[in-house]
Amino acid sequence: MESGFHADSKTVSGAIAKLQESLRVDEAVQSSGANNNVVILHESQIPEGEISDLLQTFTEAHPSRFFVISQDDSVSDFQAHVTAICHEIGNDQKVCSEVIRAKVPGSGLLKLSSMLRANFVSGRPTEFFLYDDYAALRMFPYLSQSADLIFIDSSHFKGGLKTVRAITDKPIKVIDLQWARLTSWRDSIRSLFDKSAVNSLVPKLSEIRIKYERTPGGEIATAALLLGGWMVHQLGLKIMMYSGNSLYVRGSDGRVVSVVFEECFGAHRDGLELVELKFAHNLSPSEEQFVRFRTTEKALFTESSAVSGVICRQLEDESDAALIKRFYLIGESIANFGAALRVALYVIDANRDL
Amino acid sequence: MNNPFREGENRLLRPPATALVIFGATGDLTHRKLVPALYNLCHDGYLPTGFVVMGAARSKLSDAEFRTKLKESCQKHSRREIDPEIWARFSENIYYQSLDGAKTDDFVALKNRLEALCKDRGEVYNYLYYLAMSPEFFSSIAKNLKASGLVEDPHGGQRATNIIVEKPFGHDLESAKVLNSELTKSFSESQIYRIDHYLGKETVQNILVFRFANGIFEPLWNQKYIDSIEIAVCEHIGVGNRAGYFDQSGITRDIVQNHVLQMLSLLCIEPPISLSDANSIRDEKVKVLRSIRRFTPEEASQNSVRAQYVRGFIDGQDVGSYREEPGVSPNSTTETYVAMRLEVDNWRWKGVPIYIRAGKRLPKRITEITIKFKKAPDSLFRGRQVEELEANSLSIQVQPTEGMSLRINSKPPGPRMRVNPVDMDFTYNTSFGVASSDAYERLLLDSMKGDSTLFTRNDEIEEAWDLLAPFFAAWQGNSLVPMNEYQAGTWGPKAASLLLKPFGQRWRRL
Repeated sequence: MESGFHADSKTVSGAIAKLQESLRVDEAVQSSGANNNVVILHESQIPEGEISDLLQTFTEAHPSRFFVISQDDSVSDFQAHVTAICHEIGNDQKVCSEVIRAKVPGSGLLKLSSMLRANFVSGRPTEFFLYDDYAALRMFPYLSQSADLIFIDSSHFKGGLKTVRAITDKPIKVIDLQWARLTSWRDSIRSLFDKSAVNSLVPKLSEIRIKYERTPGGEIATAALLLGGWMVHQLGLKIMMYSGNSLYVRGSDGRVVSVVFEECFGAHRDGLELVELKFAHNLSPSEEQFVRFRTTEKALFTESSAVSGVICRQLEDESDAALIKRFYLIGESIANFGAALRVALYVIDANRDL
Repeated sequence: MNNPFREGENRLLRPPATALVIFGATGDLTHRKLVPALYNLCHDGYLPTGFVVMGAARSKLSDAEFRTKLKESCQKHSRREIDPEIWARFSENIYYQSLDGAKTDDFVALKNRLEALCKDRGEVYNYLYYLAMSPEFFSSIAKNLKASGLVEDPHGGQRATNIIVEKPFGHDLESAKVLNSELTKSFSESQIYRIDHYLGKETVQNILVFRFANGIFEPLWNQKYIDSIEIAVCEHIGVGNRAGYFDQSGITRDIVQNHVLQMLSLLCIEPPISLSDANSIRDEKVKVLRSIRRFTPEEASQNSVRAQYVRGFIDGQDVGSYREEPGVSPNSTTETYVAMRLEVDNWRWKGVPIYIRAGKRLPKRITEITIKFKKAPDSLFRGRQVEELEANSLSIQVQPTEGMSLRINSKPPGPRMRVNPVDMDFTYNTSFGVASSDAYERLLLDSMKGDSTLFTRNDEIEEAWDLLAPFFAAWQGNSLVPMNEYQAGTWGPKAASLLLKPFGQRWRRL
């Protein structure tokens, strides 16, 4: 335990007040950005550049009072630094976000929460960004009572969706950027099944094959699990069992569908190479149909035996920063994330048991 | 059979693949407003991933030449700086087709080109036609679109085809009916999107949110608590290069018939069944317009003032009179200023006067709506140093700054009981930390999504013309309402103040 450590809220409050004073002097500044609270938690090993990049986009998309907290056992005392990040919004005006960066040793986390609560903008929502497993599992529990919304990127987590499970068992809204990254896939799938010639094939579905880039630990890629989970849920398929590399699900008509997770080599956007649906139930080989979605670095291609032509959809920047910006500007459909996650976790648990 | 992949998912946030064809693409509107708006939509990630802009006009230009010209315009007129990477991505979807609006063959060539482009991209694109030109060409373009097969959907219901038209929607009721009849020969009403760009402004859209998302104001929003409503649309500029059009129209047709009456109808509507259904809102707007009292020409003359500016000073600069403007007839009797008093004869608004003023070459550019509440009884303050209680008011600032201000009475610090008015302000920039988008950005996006909520319906336009007809009749030939004068740089003629005086009112100081 570090003696002499106190998370000094008065010092931080004083520094914020001074910063606001200096911002008020600048006529171009329209706002101190004190409209929301955002807490970014990360392990100290995360490169500073990554956090700075994230802050640049976050402050632009969502001006707020930011608290960037890293856990660092080498510090013996509370260290906080208060600055502003400003962005031009046109007409010679700018909006500034207050940024309070603090390092705390692990033993100081409990005290830290009091500093944060004393300096949150009153009455405003508080959003958290949990950058890594340590932030999610070790730091966040001390602060979870303050959270109205949590951002994560499950592709950052060494524990993958298991770490997500630990967070989502609390009744707080969770935005997984990995889920947001699947929007292009989900949009493409939705659009293709808007066509009646394709939609009419649904009762014949016999197999879903998801090819994903091999992961270092050999587990099934998070993106593959979430997308597979979403498709199973949307199609109303009930889980039967997991065996080999396949999840077996059953339709309301008793038909069995296999969801095959197949690893491949080579780099692809989002770690997914291909999603293919085969429609063979009660059909002869010559009658079988398919739909196929595959990516290159820049585009997602959609094709189907039921309709002519290949649809090419440009893929956009899907870095954390771009996704956060898109979330605040356009929004993100998380309506079925929980259901997709449940299916994905079933596969993870089943895989562990094998 | 329902698409299972849409079950439980949020509404489409982005439009489907769209080919936007802009007729009049070499004109001012395209360069100043439309393409900068599209660029900013692209910048913010709102455009569909399948998107084509096809400029169409008489001039002979290549795609590259057109893109170069548009880049120069965007650099001048976009609300943000042009990012080279984003521009590169955006402009590769821009094309140009030389076209004579009167020649059907040219439209067939356009059709073939669009189909080839969309086939290359492998998707069925919605077609959206923007008529960025004078209304005299609407009829021939609509006819040729139909004749060349660019209106029907050859894909069995997968392609939506819509048309956007700009104001003016006619010159009066008769011409508005003729214009609409020409358009509806080729397009159904649901395919026609009539733009009033004021409806794309954040603060105008905020009128509905303000009224129906806040429980505290709706109980006050009626004749029991509101004393009067004032709408001011003031410009400090003259007619510029619009003299040809403006001198035939005047400020009433240019601003009041559309922008002012649209804002008025949103202020006064009953809660619609749903804010997600375009026709629910528009039905309520039409009811308001129908409820506005129809004057005889004689009554219209007593409830209006019109004027034309003469020499004066604006921002310390000498400015000439309206009749000295290039393109304006030296004998022009076109009004550059109008003030009116209207009344909405329904349960909610009976007895609440609506004061409207609009003018050019006024001291500053400002558009503001003010709701003046009835005064509190002042009996509690008798015997104290309180002169007169000021009425509470709510101001909705539409431009140049967007926001709201609520004026309340408060006690200033000190030992004496005094009452001073103070303002509780909200501005968009401060509260949301982002600059408001241009109105055209929202309107273009909505039209691509097929959401017509922010576009005017034909019956709204006809009702607006109908209620203004007695004013035009009263003004004709100077018979009942003389043309007043006002010095450029002042707030209008003296007669405008006299319009309110009999009711114990005065214009709000802007």
